Amino acid sequence: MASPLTKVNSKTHKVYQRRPGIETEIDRAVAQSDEYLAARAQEHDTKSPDYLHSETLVHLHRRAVRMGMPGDVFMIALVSRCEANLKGTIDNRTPQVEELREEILSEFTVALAEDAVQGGDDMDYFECMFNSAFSTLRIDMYNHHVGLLNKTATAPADVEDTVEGDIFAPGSKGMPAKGTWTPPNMEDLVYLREVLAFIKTMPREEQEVLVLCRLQGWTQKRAAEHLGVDVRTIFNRLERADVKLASVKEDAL
Amino acid sequence: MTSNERTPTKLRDAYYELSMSEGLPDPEMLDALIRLYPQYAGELTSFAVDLTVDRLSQDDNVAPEMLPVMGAAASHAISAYHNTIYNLRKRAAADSVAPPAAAALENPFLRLDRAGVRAAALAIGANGTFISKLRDRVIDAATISQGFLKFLADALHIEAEGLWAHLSSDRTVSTEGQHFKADQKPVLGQKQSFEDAVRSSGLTEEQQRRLLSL
Repeated sequence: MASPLTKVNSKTHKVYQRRPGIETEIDRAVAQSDEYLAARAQEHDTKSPDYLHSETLVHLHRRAVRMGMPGDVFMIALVSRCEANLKGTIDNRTPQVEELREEILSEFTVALAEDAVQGGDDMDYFECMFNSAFSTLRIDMYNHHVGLLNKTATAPADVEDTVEGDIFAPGSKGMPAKGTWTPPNMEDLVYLREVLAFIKTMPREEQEVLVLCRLQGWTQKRAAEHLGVDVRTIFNRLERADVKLASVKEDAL
Repeated sequence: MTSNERTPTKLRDAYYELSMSEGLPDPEMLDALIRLYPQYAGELTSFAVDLTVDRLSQDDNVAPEMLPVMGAAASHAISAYHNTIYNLRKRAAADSVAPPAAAALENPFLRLDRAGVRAAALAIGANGTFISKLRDRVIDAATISQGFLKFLADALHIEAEGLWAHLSSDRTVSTEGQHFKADQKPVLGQKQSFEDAVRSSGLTEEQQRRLLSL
């Protein structure tokens, strides 16, 4: 049986759990030979019975290193998947995009190494929901990257040239956690993407109120409390944002 | 993750927790995290917005685990991995242990923006005025009970020792974003006792009773 995770959920105060399918996959994998597992780590076809989920690869890596064995085969499989993922989720028009992808991947591998050698529990999130955890790392580092670029922008003209469209929006095209979000229907999905692309071009303060009040369904009072402003400010921002959104809707008709 | 110095470890941890739900970020989890880390209220709310947009704008055609590649970025990351493993093992094998660095004295309240102050006040059942007194060291630390100190440290998610070091330092006035009309610098008054500070902060009877009972 796989060793339990130790990270504790701040809301429920219970230890995070792996998904049942992952737990079973790990139990079977640890009983197999190193050679066979190395071959399985190279399997890329998600429909193959030999395919190992990323959560399982993280577990096998931690287990190997902590037992004094090299975990390279699992680490390399994870890195190659993550690199492919970043190519699909971070817009190529992002300034210094290759450096950004390299930084994210290195951040991931260094964390993997530190966790395995030092015996921490930072990688528990990756054993629990790998794609969600990796998207968190990506969004955080993307925002940092954009912040640095904005700081180093020297002239307004340069900023105008580079900060265009939605390429600075957090996460760009976004990286889904497989099977975790199902849009209501295809028509809504098409319209939703148009709206989201437009939202990303809006000022940050308007993005916040739209997402919290219109997408998450928060009350204006609650959004005001979270953002540290009064309700009237939320109302005004929402009104401005709604007017802009209405124009997108008109264009779509 | 210890290697990332851009985002504080606790905040990064909170980001991961927020992302561990199916679909959109869970508002109740966001509330729980803000109560736990009131100093990061703004960052957490902002991240929840990013996460929402990210998940809603996912493209069904972009499979989360696409066909792997192995480019320059991956090679660099693998090299970083091996360097880290090597250095950590070398350090662990070293006979000598470096003495721990002295903890820097810092004001834990300076990180709080307006939303953070509000969240901190909510977490301890007080108000912004009382938080300001703690921030500006208006309260005589010798009159603060150990119970309140621990309660406050837990609410702010910081070490009680660091908090005590802050509270027992000389009084200051936070001038960030403030303007004084007087010709002379503001003069600091006497420190208040903990009880006086509680009584004179506009707290309700119930709030006063609770804070004084700790």
